[in-house]
Amino acid sequence: MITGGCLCGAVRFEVDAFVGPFELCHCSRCRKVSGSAFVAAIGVRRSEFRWLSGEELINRYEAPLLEEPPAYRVSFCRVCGSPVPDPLDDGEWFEIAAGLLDDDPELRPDRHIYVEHKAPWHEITDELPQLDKLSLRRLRQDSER
Amino acid sequence: MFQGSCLCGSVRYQFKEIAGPYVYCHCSSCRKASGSAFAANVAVPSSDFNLIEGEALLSCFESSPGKRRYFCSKCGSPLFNKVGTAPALVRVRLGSLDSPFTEPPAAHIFTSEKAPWYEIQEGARQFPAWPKPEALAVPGSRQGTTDVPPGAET
Repeated sequence: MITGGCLCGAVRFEVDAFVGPFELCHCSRCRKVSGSAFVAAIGVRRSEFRWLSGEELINRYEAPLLEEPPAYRVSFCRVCGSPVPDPLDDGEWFEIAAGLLDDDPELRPDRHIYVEHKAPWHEITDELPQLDKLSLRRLRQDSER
Repeated sequence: MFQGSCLCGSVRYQFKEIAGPYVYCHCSSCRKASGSAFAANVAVPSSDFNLIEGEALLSCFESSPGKRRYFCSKCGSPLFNKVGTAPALVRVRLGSLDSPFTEPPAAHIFTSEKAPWYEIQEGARQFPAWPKPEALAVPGSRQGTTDVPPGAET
């Protein structure tokens, strides 16, 4: 069992196990949402995720659609602003910001994505694959086949 | 002149200059506030820092006495911090910056609280908590103040 929560501690959740993928997203929207160099998004199955508290404190913002749906959406604790989990859609899988976790998710990042939008002040120093939008799209298509 | 904004664009700020080096902070509070592996905040003179738009939409969370974290109430984006012990400086979150800025961080701090899933580059300057001010000064932070226990957030 892995627990996590927002900075103020109002929004709390637990996860049985993470399935991945685990991606560090450098797109400009993820940089705005985190205030940092990237969002660390780790995949979980809805069936393995449970709210512990604070679900009623979550605000959501949907950004204007850039290309095709779904639109970029962020959920955050209205008390402290931390980006919190958002299992709203019907899909069986969604992503959680790994910075919220209290425990080791026992997965490690798979790749950097949207590296063409990387902040110029941040250098990627590890050996993980670095994917731009096109190569990420190719990877996603391949995994759906 | 540097400019920055939140995800939804409601809150916009500008400032003239960045005061000194900055660090990546890996403490658990910074990780929770960002959802990422670390926070990256630059110090900016308060006298130069101006909100251009959206001041009424700012929310603030006081994560510890005198430490106020400001974010957009509409989209949640973290924008800047104010620290009561260093009122002359605002700490701006680099992820919100729209202007070009290329300077890398001077060091990683609070690596004792680092996420187990994030590897820091070998050879980078690292400090388990606050660096001693003579080793590296972190402008606008609570470094060196007596009210901050070891391991406290930045």
